[in-house]
Amino acid sequence: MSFALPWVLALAAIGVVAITVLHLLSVHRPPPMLLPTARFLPERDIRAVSRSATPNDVLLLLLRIAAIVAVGVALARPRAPRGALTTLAVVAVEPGVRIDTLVARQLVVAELGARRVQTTFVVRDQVVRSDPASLFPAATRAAARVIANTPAVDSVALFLVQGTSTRADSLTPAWRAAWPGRVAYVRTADTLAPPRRRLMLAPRSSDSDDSAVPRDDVVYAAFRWHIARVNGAMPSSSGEVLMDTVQLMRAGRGARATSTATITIDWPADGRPMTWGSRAAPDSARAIVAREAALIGTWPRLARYEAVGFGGTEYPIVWFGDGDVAAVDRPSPSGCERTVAVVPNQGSDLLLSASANGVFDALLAPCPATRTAGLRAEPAAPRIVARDGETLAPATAFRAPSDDGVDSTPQSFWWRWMPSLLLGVALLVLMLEWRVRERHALRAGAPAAVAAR
Amino acid sequence: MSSQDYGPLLDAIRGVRWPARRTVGAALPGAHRSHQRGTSGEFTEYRLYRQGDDPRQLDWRLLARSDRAFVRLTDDRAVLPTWFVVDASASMAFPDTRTPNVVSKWQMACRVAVGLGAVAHASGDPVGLIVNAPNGPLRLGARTRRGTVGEVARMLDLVGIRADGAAAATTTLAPLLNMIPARARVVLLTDLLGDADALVKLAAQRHVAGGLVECVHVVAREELDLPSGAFVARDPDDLVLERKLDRALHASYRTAFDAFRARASQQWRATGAGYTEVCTDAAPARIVRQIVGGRPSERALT
Repeated sequence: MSFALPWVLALAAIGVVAITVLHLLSVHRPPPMLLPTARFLPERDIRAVSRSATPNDVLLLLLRIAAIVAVGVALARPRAPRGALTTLAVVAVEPGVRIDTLVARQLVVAELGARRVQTTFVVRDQVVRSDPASLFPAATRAAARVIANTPAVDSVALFLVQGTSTRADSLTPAWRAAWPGRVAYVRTADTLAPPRRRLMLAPRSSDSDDSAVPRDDVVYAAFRWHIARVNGAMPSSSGEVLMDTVQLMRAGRGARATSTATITIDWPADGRPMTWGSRAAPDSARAIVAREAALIGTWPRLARYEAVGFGGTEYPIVWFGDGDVAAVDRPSPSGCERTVAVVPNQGSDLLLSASANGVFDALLAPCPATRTAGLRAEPAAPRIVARDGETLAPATAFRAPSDDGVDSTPQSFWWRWMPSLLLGVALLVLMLEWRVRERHALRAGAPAAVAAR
Repeated sequence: MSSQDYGPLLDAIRGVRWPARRTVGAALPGAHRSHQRGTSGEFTEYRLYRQGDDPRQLDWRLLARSDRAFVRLTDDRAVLPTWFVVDASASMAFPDTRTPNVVSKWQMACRVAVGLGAVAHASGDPVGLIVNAPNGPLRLGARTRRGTVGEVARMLDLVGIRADGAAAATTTLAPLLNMIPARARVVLLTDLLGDADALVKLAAQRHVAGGLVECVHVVAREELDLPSGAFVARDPDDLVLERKLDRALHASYRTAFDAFRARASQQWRATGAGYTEVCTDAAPARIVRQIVGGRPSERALT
């Protein structure tokens, strides 16, 4: 058992010693004697203090010690045994890099030595941004999630698994500074080139309500334009080419055809996706942002994204200029489904401009965890190429502080309520002490003795 | 005689005389100089013969030598009734006489009273006694008959006082003085812890009226030298009064008590009364001699 405020125990020990010393000093009423000239004595407190070899009122002493100890332990905030301390190793893998989990664990254990290690992986399907710096916040989120449920973790080690072609961008130093400990950079010997993919826009289905949407719909046109752009940017070479089908659905709330495409874009024309809530007062945003690119314009907003839980299966991929979510990605049986709540002006060609590349790159990005059948073993063993920092990050940096600044490691029911129970016990003991003290006073037959105590 | 053996005391003060500190009023012939001039006793002066003088007092030899008639004058002597007022309040029973070789203030007062009474009686003075006993004042009228001193001793022995105040006598002595003639000699034997101020006032009045007052202030040795240790001191005359007593308070107590005694001495002497402080560990015979000796200056004629 540990204590959140061990110094309170020291204060309680001092109190116990003090009360014991007081009980060795007997405060009593001296024996009476007749003295006719007593009037010439100055008025003083009649009680006299003398030392005794054994404490007086042993029962009262024990009750008082029990009360002090109970209050001291309660205020010291006892905490459940944390068990053997463990280091959490966060292995963050860059998008496009693959590493065998077994090999990664061996690398982690070799690096951390004899410490107990718990390993967690941050893989690219949890990374929204496709740049190295985004691994840091993803690793922070993963560490916080594990530490919140594992009180035994006392330190965190970060292993960044990067490809040979990884280059730090302008945000990397800032994100690195935010990590409160050592970072080990792991390079794989070879990084397989990402598979080439080709997008194909599925034709509109006559069975869906899309028939209510005009055929020269600007969104359709934009997708045709941007798919051609993405396909054109793909380098031509031999080898495997993955085909991702993009199904665009412009129907509003209501039944729609089940999509079997790899990427399903649910972009209702009325700007109200089925799973989103309505805004109390429709407004507009001045920009939509994705992939560090902003598309300036007037974008009406009629729906509000109600997150089921970030860090789960849905991830925002496009935002309005004020930070509200404009589009989210979630897995689907065939790949992924991206819901968009942007209402473009049908007469505007903003979606066809270069400024919209970021938005459509996000909407047409490969689905996470698709086309990757788990993490496959690399042909060559990865190695740690650099270490940045002296000490491991403390686990407390990833725990949310409580209002009183004390460690907020989650505790079981009994440990959470133990301070209150101990205070209740102390109160009962003090009430018992009061009763015993009164009984002693009555037995002594001296009401003044009650006041004297 | 009483249970207390006054024999050694009486033997020690045999032959001691206790002259009055000033001339007394005319009364029966006695041992004390009287205001009245008489023809007996020691020669003091001559006075021219006046018409009506007793011719038997003429000094014939001086007449023969000087051919002038003079009368021989001598000082007259009178008796001085002496009353003893003994304080029998609870404070006088201190200290407890159950402890061996301890004399209480009451016992010392009784011894001094019997001693002084014997001296006064031996001079032919009537001796009376008043005690503020628990059941009311006890009075033994002034008399000169044989055995008066024994009666005084027996009466004192009959008065039982208890320091715990269970049989508390009144602490006021002033009303008892009204039972005594104005021109008598009053000897107060008390610890002055009662109505001391009223007694001083009455003493001054009696002195003006021609009476004599002697104050014997009895102090216990245990009141001067307090015991060590911590106690709760209670006044036997007022059991409600309780004070803490320990070594740290001895100095302040002694200072206050000494100031009280000094003030009492000053007040009593200022009234013209005699004042003698008696400690319980003193020899009664010496105290009696000290009291009867008085101050030379106070023997002057008024």
